Amino acid sequence: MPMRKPVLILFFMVVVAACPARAKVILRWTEPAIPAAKSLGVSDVALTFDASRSPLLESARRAGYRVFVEATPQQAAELAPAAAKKGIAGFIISVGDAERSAFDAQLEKLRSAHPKLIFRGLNSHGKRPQIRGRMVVEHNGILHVSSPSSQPWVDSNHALVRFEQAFHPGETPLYTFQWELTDTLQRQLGPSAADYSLAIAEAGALRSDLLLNLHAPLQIALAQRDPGAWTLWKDVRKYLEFSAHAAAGSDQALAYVGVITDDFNKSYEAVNLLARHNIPFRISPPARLSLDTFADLDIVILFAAPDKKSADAVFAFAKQGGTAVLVNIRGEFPWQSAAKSKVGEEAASYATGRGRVIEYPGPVLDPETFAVDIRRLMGNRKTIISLWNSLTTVVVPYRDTKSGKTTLELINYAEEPLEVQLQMKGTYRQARYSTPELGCCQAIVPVERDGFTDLLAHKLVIAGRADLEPAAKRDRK
Amino acid sequence: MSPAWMETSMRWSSAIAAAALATAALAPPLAAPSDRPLPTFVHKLKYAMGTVVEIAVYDESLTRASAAIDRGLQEMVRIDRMMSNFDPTSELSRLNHSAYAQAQEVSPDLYRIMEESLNYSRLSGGEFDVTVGPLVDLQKAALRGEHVAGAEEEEKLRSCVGYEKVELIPPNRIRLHSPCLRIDLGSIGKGYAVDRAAEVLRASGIKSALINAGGSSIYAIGAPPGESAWLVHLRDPSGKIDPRVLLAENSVSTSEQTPASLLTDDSAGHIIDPAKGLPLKSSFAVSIVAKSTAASDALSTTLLLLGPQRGKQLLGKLPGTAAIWVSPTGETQLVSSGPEIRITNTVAAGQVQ
Repeated sequence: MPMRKPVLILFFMVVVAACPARAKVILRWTEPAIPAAKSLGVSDVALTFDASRSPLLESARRAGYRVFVEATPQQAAELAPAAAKKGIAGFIISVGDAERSAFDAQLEKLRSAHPKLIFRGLNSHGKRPQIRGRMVVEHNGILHVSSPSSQPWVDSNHALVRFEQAFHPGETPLYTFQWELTDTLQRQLGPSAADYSLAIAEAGALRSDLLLNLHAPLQIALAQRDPGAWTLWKDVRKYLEFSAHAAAGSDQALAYVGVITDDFNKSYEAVNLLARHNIPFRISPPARLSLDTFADLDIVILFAAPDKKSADAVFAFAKQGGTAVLVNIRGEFPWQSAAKSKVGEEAASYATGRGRVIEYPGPVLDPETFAVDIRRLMGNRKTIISLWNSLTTVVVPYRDTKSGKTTLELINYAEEPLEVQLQMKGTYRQARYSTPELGCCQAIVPVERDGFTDLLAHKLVIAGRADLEPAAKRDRK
Repeated sequence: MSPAWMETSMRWSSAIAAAALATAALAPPLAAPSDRPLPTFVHKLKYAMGTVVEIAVYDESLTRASAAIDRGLQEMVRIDRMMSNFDPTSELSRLNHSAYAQAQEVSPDLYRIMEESLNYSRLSGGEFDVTVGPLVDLQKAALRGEHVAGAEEEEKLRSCVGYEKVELIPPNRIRLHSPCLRIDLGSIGKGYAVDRAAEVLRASGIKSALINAGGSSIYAIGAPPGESAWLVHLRDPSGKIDPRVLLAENSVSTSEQTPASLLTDDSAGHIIDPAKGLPLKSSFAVSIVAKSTAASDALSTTLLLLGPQRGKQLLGKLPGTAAIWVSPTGETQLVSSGPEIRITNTVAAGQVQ
């Protein structure tokens, strides 16, 4: 499946990794009849611009929904003055392939002109979350198998959401994806309850909002109160409720790797593979880098050339024991006067005090090996989190800045039960584990091993959450 | 008739996700005979055997195709459980634990896979050997710096492994003639499971299917409608020559060493040369076409260890096979006793047809 990459040159300023308010699912509703909001367990729906002129708008409002209209900036500007009267809560505006900064300016203008309405930017380049095979059918009808690998591949929206969070701090990302129901069976049946649940669980784990497409026959059946459809939706609702209980507020995504980039395209695949390998990372734009930017990081990967001040910050970070990796960046930098050695086939490593700077001369053509290398550079002692028996599982760690509580959000893209072994750096006195199927807060026994804590997440079907209480300071080693 | 969403919950296993295939390609083939129902295309995936397994089927009956794929995938899971070395209750674990004291009765599947394994061990002069797992584990531990074995420990381990210490007693018993021998079917088991899935599909009436286990083990039943065979593109580390093969009632498997590190001097790869105790130094990707996936799986790693020259000698003994070695710069070595492997560009001399 070719990945659509928006041509986005990102120019923004300061990154705040704090996670915004609780993630929401907005249903994209396309059929004329709509069931009550309370029964679906969803409070927001999005209608097309055309539907906003149909009786569906009023039906949705009466059914208890907060109604959003999908529109272009021009359509939103046209409809906004009458929106409140029509019961429209706001507009969802898709970010096109145009320069993102121009889009942001349009959004800001609309927000200023209509402060009582909500205007959300929508990233429509999301991917259907799934495990992915190697068969590809080309447009000329040839089915073939792409390059072999024993590693299962996961299509996730982790990297996409992190880019959105980095370059739009303070805004909850909103994305959508198409189901791409391609074979005869899929087109007839539509996505399963597990497929919907995975999409909802993923967005919740990433603390992102999701505009979810519902298969049209399912919309009709739900509106007609068909028992079978509601049986399916009952399963999906468990995941809506589970995701709604994801922590928020003072939660911060944990990271030990920083990615410095100003270009989505240039760094996307490498970042995607960091996520796939469960390497906690955060993305920062290259402007105004300082030593504070790297405060809690062990490795910094630069895809954008640092200016002199930023280069000095990178050098200081490396002198204090950090590892900086420059990808395809040429120039004169302060660390180049340090002792140089060759690493790998092409890279050069500079010994800088307690750390090092590695210059990799080309673009990352093999992001899988690159991600594995970042883990190698980290070493076992510094790695925050490791998973076993879980090639299809992605874990996203968060820490509450006030209480110190750590939350691990687990997503199993294989959609079938797994026993996942986790090892978390640090010592924890208590762990509680929840899944949509098991319910809330089963006690699991954390086993401490030499500064790390081992945990077993059992019966992980699609989503799981482990809440870890830190050991009291005097108990910590 | 039930609405679509209802069938979704009833008939689709939640464990099976759909693959992302290009919609345009899925229209019924133009060459299908007009007096028959047009074949439907069904494609499912499942995480099994440590990888993503996919089965694609063309069949007139959607229901039959779907059910056959489910049965094929279930069969692979069954074989995987039988051969697990992690599960102490698996049939293979039990054999490893108890077959030294006295010969053990085993299932027809385990007997058959051991027969095939020993056959390839003999053919390859021991390069392929399902008993060397403990030695390789020791060598990997040393490479990770976890446990460096002394010469005496390694020698002792070498003395207790070896395919010739496995005795098959027809029709269904196996005896191990070494107390410290442990059979590991990782290098052939996935291929055997693919072959079993193919048998299940055939028994379900399927005449056109492609089974793919992680891209490295592929088997084709029949051909897509209107075609003579399934086209499979093979691994090309050079990205220049696009090697490909047409499969019909045969298989292809691929092996290559893990790529070298980009940012460190760590050269450890996942394929260890047991004779040297070191990661195999080979930048080739080797793909081999054979009549069964068990055969192509067993031979692919063996050919990588042997290299092109010795590998070609081995294949000379095996009718119905073909192999291609491709280097990162696009140099190829080709050998065939039947199946045709095609390449688009010839990058360097040295092809041997």
